[in-house]
Amino acid sequence: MFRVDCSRLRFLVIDDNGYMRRIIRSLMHGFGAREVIEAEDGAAGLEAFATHLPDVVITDWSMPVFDGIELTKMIRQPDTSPNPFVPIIMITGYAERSRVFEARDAGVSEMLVKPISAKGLYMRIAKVVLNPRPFIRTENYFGPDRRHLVKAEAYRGRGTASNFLKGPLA
Amino acid sequence: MTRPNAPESNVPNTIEQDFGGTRLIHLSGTLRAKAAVRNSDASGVDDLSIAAAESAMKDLSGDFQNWMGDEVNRLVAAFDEYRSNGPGKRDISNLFRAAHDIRGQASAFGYPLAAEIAGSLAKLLDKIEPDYLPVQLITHHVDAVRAVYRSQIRDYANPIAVQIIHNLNKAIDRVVEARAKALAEEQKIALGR
Repeated sequence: MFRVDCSRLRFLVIDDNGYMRRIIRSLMHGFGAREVIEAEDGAAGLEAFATHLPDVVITDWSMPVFDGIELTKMIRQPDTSPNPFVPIIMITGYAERSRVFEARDAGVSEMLVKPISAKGLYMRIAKVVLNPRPFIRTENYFGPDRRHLVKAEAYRGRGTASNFLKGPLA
Repeated sequence: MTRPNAPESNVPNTIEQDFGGTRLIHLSGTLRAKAAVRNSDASGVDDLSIAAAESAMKDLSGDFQNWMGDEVNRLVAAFDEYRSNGPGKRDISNLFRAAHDIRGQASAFGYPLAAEIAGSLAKLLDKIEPDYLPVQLITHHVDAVRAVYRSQIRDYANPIAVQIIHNLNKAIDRVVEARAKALAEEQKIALGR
């Protein structure tokens, strides 16, 4: 089996929340990554993407002005993007099935629902580096093959108060 | 976006196959060639890297209490700003962002109940138009997040907190359902004209 040597890769982390960027950066350094570039919104992220040409993009979904979905669509422009094949890992608070499909249709490679864990993030990085999905180009879509099992249900109800309720209202 | 003089190593070599209007592009494994190293563990999971990252996260955790406090203050300030504007001029974007961030981060900071309450508030703000939002229900959510933080309620062992969250969730479901029904009625009337 193989593992990923993150010290050989350049990562771009895009999140408007400084605390979340700090958490992701700490995790990435824990994985051994040396090059972790940060951007605080989608527009700055797109600029950093064109300037630094990262190997992996890790982005938040919800950001002001220019969100993670719009960013992904810009990066997946095959005729203008510096690297339309770059793996994009989206970190999000949204776990609804419709949101997962929306991200998939924009061209996101992997999704990670908050709260993030070291193992969850590492597994997504390992997936996009070691077993990347082929890309599909049609008239309406360019991005990773969407025939990919979506497990949105697995997140539903995880760690919520209803699991801990006792009594008649439960 | 224009294509700069990209280093060759960052642009994958590809094998392409055509199937009618669909082109299948197999990446030649550029990143794999660059960063894959043999692992003695047959599972392929790099336990050492994960443990190192968890340890780095633990080092940060001393700051989580203050960070959570900052996020709660941001939520309260965004709510005050929302409330200070009259109907028709209310902007929920800052309030939504503050609630959404707490939903995503509070569990990592050690406040999963606050994350759930904020998630329920974010759902309300996402589903209902600004002028139809029940201000009282938003107030209850903001107060609940503040109380959870102030009282340091960090787990689901507190039955009162659990019951409050359950009731807030139910109230939101009712509001969302009622608004959806009203919209459907309005649409029916508009189509009937």
